[in-house]
Amino acid sequence: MEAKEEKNKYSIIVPTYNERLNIALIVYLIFKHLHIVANSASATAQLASITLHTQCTPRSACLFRKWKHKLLCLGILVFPTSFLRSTFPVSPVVFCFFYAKRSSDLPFRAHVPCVLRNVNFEIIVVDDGSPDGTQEIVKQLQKVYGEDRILLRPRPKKLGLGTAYMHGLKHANGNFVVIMDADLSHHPKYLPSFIKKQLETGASIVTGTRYVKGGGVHGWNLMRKLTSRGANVLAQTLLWPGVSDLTGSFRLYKKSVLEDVISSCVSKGYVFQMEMIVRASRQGYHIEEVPITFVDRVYGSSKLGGSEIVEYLKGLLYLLVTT
Amino acid sequence: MKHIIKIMALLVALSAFWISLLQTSVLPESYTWLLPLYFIVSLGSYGLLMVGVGLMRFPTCPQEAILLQEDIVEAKGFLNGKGVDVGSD
Repeated sequence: MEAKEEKNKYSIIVPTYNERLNIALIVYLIFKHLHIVANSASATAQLASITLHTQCTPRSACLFRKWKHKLLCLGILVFPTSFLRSTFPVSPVVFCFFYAKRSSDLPFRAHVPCVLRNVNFEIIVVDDGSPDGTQEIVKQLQKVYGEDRILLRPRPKKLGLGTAYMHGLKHANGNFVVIMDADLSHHPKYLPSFIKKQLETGASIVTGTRYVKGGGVHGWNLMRKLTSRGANVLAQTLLWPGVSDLTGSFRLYKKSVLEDVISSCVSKGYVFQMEMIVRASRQGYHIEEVPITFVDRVYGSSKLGGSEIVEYLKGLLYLLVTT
Repeated sequence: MKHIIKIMALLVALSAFWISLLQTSVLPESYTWLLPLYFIVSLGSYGLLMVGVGLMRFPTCPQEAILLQEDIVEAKGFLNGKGVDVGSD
């Protein structure tokens, strides 16, 4: 399935810290999946190498999205649907109408590769003074791919994720902004499906979700899955956010929407991601979801300790009271 | 409208309903007094059920790890050819 690309430019902001190897791999993969030049000899080779694991949801009729949001604001039917939507295998008849209308829950009719030609994009690497030489690698990549495509905007030291996004946003030239992690847990092969979803639905925010059919996680043990599931159910019950994955950080924003939302967020870490999507949902922005797969850190390690759980609960209470 | 106000309104409506049940004695008093407890317990157990169901149906993708490793090999090969240093971390 191909689509003609309009004059949209996508700025991909990648905050890095000690990601010497991963940043090179990510840049290569982004170019592989986005930089398909029409009518070139290498295009057919590129298309052949992109296997059938990117998928597009069918064209979603968003007729009821507006109504659902209106009803959400009135608090009617939200509690059961958000409680049920993300987890219940068979929804009660009354709510399955709204349940099925969420495009990311519809069964996939066909797995077709999402291929977009001539996507205009740039990659903004916001490096927080990595000691392992990440910036040298980015400079080498700039020689290969061009300085207009890869922008290196470093900062002197680790100053936090939110400020990294704001810093990247200042240098972004596109009208859309994609944020993703640099540790290869977010695979760039989903970028065309994000873009396609946004073009189809005209959404302000397209967020990747790991918890629906078609998405998934690899590399999590049972405890990790349990905490993730428990946190998700708790957040759905308390906050009624309208998205199934709150802590995911693989998102496509319209630039104006990101500027608006980020200025009102004060949290740190992954609670920051939650706060952004909840605030955006409260302000009524059109949010769509795309299933993504999440392979936990290939190189390096990530931990989930007791202090993170406490931080999460505090963030949840803060969002409950202030949004 | 802030979210907490919506939740408070819901709770106020539920308590008004409970108090009206107490006043009109539709059900035996002792039973009515225990209704909030039943509500909280059923809510808690429904939540636990959802966590359990979600855990069983948690989507996993082991094949993605393999595909990722293939992508990494391909990327390293290409970048080595272009002169980018892709030695291990």
